[in-house]
Amino acid sequence: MPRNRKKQDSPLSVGLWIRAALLCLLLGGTAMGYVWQKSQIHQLGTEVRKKEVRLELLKGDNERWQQLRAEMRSTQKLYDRVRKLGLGLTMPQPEQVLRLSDLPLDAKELKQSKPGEYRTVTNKPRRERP
Amino acid sequence: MILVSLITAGYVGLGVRLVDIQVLQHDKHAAHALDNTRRRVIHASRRGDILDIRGTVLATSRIAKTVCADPSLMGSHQRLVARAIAPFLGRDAADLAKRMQRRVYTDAEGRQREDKHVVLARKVLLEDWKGITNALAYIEFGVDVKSLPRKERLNYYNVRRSVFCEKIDSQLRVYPSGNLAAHVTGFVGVRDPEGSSVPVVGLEGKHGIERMLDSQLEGVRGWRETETDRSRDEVVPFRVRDVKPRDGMNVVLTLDANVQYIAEKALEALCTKHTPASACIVVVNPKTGAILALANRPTFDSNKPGDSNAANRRNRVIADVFEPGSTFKIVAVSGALNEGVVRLHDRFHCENGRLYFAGKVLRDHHAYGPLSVREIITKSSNIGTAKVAMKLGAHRLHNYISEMGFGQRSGVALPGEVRGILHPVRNWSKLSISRIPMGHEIAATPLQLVMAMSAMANGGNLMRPLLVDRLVDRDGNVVMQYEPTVVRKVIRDETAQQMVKTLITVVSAEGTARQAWLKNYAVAGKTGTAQKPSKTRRGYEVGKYFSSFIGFLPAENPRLCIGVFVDEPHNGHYGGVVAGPTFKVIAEKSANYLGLEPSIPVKPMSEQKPRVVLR
Repeated sequence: MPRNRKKQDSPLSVGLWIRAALLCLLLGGTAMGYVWQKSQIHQLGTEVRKKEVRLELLKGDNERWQQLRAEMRSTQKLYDRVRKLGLGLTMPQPEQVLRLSDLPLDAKELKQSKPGEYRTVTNKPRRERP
Repeated sequence: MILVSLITAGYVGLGVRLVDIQVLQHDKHAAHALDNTRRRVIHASRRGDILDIRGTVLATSRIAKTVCADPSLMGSHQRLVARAIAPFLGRDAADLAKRMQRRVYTDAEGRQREDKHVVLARKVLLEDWKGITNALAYIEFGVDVKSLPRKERLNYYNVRRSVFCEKIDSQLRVYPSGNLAAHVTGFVGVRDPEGSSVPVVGLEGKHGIERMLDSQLEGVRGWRETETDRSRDEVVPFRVRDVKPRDGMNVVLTLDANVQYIAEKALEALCTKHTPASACIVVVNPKTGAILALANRPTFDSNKPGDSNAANRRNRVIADVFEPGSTFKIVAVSGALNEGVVRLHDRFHCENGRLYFAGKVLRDHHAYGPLSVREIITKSSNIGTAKVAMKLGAHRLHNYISEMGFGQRSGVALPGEVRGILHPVRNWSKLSISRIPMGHEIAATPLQLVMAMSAMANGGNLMRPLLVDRLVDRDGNVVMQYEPTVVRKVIRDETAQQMVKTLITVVSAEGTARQAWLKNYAVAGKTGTAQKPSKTRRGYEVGKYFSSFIGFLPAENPRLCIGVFVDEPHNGHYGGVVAGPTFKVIAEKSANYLGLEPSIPVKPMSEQKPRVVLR
């Protein structure tokens, strides 16, 4: 006996529709994620490149300052500068140099000396710390 | 039917071609496609610095660019571009414009090609390159570029990018102190990219420490394998391999820039006064063999080595040999004392200044009678020294000369050192035993003489000259420490002490080096005045001398051994007169600077009478 056509079930059920929609969403989401990830990689790559260029420039600046410092510290420049400024700086003569022995920490003489007074103390070897 | 057959045949043809390209010729086309995008970028390592013992920078490096131009992109705007960039390159604009003219050349296959890579300048500093890119970005063409059609706009855009820099950075070597210690630091030149497919232009040490320690200073290059986009900018995510460069090590020398400066200034003053053909000074620590200063005149600027000739660049301390003259007497006398064949108070008759020996006359500069061995050195008697050497004997004399480092390289870390000349005994003439002890018939380098004198000063140890103290990495970690090395013991301690006592008398009122006397330090030393051998005939040149003085201080506990050597001086020729005062200046200033404790007690300032200085 033929079935009632009006009561025949639809071949596309709601469940199927939902599954298809989910599949589309999944595929779309994956595609979007892939594109987003690629975009991020590209963006990060660009940033890395920019930072590398910046680092190179900073290194260049650093080297420039180092060279400047080396030039300013060069013996020739220092002597020339002293001469130019007329500071009258010369090396100390041996008679101007006061030589002190390496004072031991526990030198009792040090406590007894008055301010401005120089004393010669015996240089005892330091005791080893425990 | 025919149409269908034709279409089918067409499709079959296309299919065959597709298989040919995609399968049969896949490797070739894939490689070609990869070649268009894949790039191998070389990263140059930073060359290490050269420092003195106190950290003063003697040589350093800076990143620099090689600026190039593609004339094919410039159209007729060469002058405009040249005017914009000339100030940054320090070049004449007209000259640059001429260089940027379009040129064609014939390649190896006989095809005409346009030159698209013209090097405008090398070693352009980063700040100058930044200036160039700015100048090109804001170049004024006299037209409103934005309102032009796309094709014309592109032409102007190409003009802006016609000047570019090479992908591989180069370096600029800088010597902040100019010609200070130029013969020690040396200089660098451009290394040819020999056998390399990548046009890497690096630096290579050509002279001095730069050359000797080139591999340590150079470091190791890095590289990166990556891909580029259509505009040839790098696509960072496609980096396949990225190997970072390893920077070169810093070299710390034993030199002290201040002592070097003192020596150079004293040498300048000497050259002004005596106008010699050349002169040199070596300052060493006799106990360690560490070289504190090494100066030459004529000299050169390491920043511009090309501005000077080869003679100026020659390090005469190790590359030139001289007949040393009387400074060499220390060898024969110390040998004789060490062997016990003579004692200091033994007396020799000096034949009143004329000794006939082997058919020739040996002369003294004064007519001396009997002199003790000590007086022979004090007064520098040739006849007395010859008689002492004869007692020692030829073989033993040769042995001592050789033991003290003559006739062999000292091993200093500098290129171009020579051995000097020391003939074997079998080649000696009858005269040799009377001539060699006074420094004739033998040739030595100034460094050999200073090291031999240092052996007298330090108790008889011949030290290897030490010029490099240590190698350190960029973080300051010591990678290699060089220690003082005793080559051999040449004389006993007692003999060395006797020699020191004898050499002190040279720098006294009775000796030949009165002008080297110091107020606060006991000085020992020996003068030398040798006639120069003729280059064209047998015998010696008249009026041409090699004057020298080698001394050390404080005599009892020496910290400095200073050798002053003057070739063909004018206004005097005696070693004591020409080299003595220079020794005194260097010794006084260096001892003050290094804080050496005076060996002769000094009165403190408070006990001295006040001095009135009028200005």
